[in-house]
Amino acid sequence: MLGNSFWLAATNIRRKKFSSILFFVIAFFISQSLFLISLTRSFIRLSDFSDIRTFFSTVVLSVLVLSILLLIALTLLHMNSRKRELGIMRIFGARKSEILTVACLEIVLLSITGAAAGIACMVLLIKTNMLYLPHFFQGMARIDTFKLIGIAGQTIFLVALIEVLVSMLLLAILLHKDITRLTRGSV
Amino acid sequence: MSIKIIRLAKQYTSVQETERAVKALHNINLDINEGSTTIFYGPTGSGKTTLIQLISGILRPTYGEVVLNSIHMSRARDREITRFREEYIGYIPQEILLIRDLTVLENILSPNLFRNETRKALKVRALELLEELDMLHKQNAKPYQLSGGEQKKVMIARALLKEPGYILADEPVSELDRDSANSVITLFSEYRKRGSAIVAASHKKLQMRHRCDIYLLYKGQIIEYTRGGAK
Repeated sequence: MLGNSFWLAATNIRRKKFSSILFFVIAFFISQSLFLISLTRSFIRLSDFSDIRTFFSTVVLSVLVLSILLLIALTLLHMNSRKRELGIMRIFGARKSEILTVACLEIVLLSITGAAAGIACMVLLIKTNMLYLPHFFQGMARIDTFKLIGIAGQTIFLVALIEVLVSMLLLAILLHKDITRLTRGSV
Repeated sequence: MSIKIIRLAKQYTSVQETERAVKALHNINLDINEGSTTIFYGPTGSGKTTLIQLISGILRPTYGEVVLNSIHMSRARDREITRFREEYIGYIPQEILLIRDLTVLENILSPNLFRNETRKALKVRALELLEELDMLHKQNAKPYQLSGGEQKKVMIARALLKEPGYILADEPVSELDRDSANSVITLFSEYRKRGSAIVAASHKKLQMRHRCDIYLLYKGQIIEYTRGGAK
């Protein structure tokens, strides 16, 4: 039942505060990098700016790669700490697919809120000129609101997809172990 | 509904390759029918826990077969065994297997949430079970705030919540005082009347109030069979 799975996911987010905050923060940073990449792609077309665009993309991409590596490390730690309870759930009849659904819901909730907060923060920084690069963000003014919302939505979807793919892959590998080995895992 | 155990053997491979594999069970033949009570007695290391874990599908047999309804455990796919366990088996492990930072009530509910029942209905039943086990006042406590016996009672409530066809209990009353042990035995009797088969392993005498099949295990083999518990 999806309602019950939602309840379990919310309970897990509440009790695993530390890792939940980390998933949120990673989504926050990945979304900012992706959002900036999408923005620059949509309004910088002039060849004059090609050098600065390359430089900017390199910086943003390296932040993105680092965030994803951090995400993998965090997921590994998170899953290892939950090994025993995964075993418990399996012993008492939860199927692998049901455990994956609950974990997926947790990650989706955290990544969507994290990404939305990251994008809101970035828009605020740009609009208030706190993050100001000459000539660079002036193009922001030329983008209409609908397009901006579209880019934001696309970014949130991408962030959720990255987080879900990484965590589900690692969780599926972990769930492949047999139950007795899982229950002996770290508490 | 029945469990058939045919020439069952289980070996644990040793950690060090130089050592011999440990033979936990050897040539076990049993039939467990709907509504029956089966008790395995035996000293520590006689294979009681292994037998219960084999019946519940947590372990797979090395030789022989466990047939649950029509599922052959040695050949069945993991998905089939999990489905069977979800639907029919209420397993009470010997060790404390509770999720540390969930409350008592959440611990009882969480593995049972994937069935086709609303959380509200499950909660009502969970609270009834807690009341019968005299644990209602501890429903919001965390497992580490409970004594060993109380933790065991939470695991009993969790196993009984889905009203299973088979209750597989590994040392269900060994950590409980006499009153608590009696209330657990009473609960088991109620479930048996409703058609559940009870399979229990214990090193201590269980005072069952109905007829039961008693098997004495020693070094992985059944060495004695008696019928007992009738009043």
